[in-house]
Amino acid sequence: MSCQEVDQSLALYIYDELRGDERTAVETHLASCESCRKAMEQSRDLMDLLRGQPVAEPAPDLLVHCRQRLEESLDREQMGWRALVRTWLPLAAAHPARAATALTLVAFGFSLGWIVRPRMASVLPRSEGTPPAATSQMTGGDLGGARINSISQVAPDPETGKMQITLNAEKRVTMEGSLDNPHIRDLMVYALKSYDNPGIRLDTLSALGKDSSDPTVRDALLYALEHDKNAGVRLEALRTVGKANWNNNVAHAFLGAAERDDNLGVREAAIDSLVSHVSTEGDEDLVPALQHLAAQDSDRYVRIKSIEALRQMGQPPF
Amino acid sequence: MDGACLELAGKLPADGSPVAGAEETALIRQAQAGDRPAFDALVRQYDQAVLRMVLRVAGSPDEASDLFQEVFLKVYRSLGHFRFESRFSTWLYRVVTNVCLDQLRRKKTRREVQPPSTDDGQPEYFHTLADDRAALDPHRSLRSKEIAVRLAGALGKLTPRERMVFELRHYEGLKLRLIGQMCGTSEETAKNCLFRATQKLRTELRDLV
Repeated sequence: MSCQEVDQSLALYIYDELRGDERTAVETHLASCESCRKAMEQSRDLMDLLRGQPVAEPAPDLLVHCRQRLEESLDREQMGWRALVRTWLPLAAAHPARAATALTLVAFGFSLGWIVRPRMASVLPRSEGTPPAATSQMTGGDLGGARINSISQVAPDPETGKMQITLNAEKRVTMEGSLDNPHIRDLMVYALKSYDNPGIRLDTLSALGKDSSDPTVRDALLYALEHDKNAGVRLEALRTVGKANWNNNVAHAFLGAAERDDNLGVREAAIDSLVSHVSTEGDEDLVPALQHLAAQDSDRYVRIKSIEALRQMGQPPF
Repeated sequence: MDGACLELAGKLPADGSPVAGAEETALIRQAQAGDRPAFDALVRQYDQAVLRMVLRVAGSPDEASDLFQEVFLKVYRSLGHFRFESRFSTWLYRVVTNVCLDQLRRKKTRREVQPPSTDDGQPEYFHTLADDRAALDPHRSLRSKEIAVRLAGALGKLTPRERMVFELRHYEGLKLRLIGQMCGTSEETAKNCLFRATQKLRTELRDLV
């Protein structure tokens, strides 16, 4: 094997991509050629340098943002023409006669709807302009435009002759109001604590953060920091609570996050906030917990920051 | 191919371990039948790994987010064509590779890749990363930042294909045989790309070693 061939094989050798005989040939050449050995050392040093660089993970809030955007894109995709084509094209190809009949029926339905539209408009209940009520009792058959999900019971009353229909209906409701409005605030606290979609929880959290001095809101933010299953939401809760007035609950929640959070990013952000807090306030109640972190935490950054905080407070690190 | 695919699966995030074969197959079939929750579950198995890959070739979080959308919308639209002839992870990463290659080519035609940098010279997208371990060791912090900037510049000088082959081999740990398939080329071409990529990096970064 010549020096040029060895030079071309160095990367493949280091990445273990050579066959056994090629590997042996390279090693034989290296044993007797100092300049190639030098080149090999250089290549190894470079790879070691690159391997020593941090393998960074995407920030949780970026992942949350991407997931949220994707959900919205997929919602649009499901409702768009692509979905229609994807669903109907194979069926139409398999059953052209049925497809033609279906198309005719759809066209007929549209035409009929167009013809009767003016008359129907005069008898349909007008929902616009009426105040939305999420829990309103619907009587007399007026569903106010709500969509029926299921009907669980149809029972005639023999005495009155009336029909009793039990159904499950849903209606899109938009509520408006400032954060001072207790209904709005309660809804947002509910969304933050219980709603499935992390994107909605993140939006709610950002909006609630504008009034984080309110005790109910602060409790909800602390709940998110301690219990939300999404690291991005926990991180945002930590940033938001950090802007509010500190008290024992906040300090405990931050310590808990610094000690136990599953996500290293959240833990480091929590310890940063604690250090910033003690550097201005000198909260001595935190000393034992910080000493514990300084001595035993598995993360070096957390240990260093804890020591830094203790030093600023004039306390021994251990 | 299986051995290489297993290696790929091993690169998935620890908290989202790959679902067992039968379970994943069931999810794919449900998703192919239009079951959106099944598709969402499938996405959750891989989205963190995909985001990590696209973030490496993107110049900013916004760009990474766009690429992320492009990948999974392509997967959503073409999942019906997946015939279980390869592992789903291989098929998915082929989509990721193509999207990344297209993006790198678009960038090359516009200008040389120069990651946007902040006041301290650190590429901007590193600030969006939660696991910024350079900060964990204050003594190495400065040097690590310098290397990151130099490395980003050196990677920007590779051709799109050299860049993808290097990223997939060095950071994702995939074998060149599989990388060749993902890039729509041969193992031999992938070997040449890796050789040229490492040569260029050696030249660009020789004063650091």
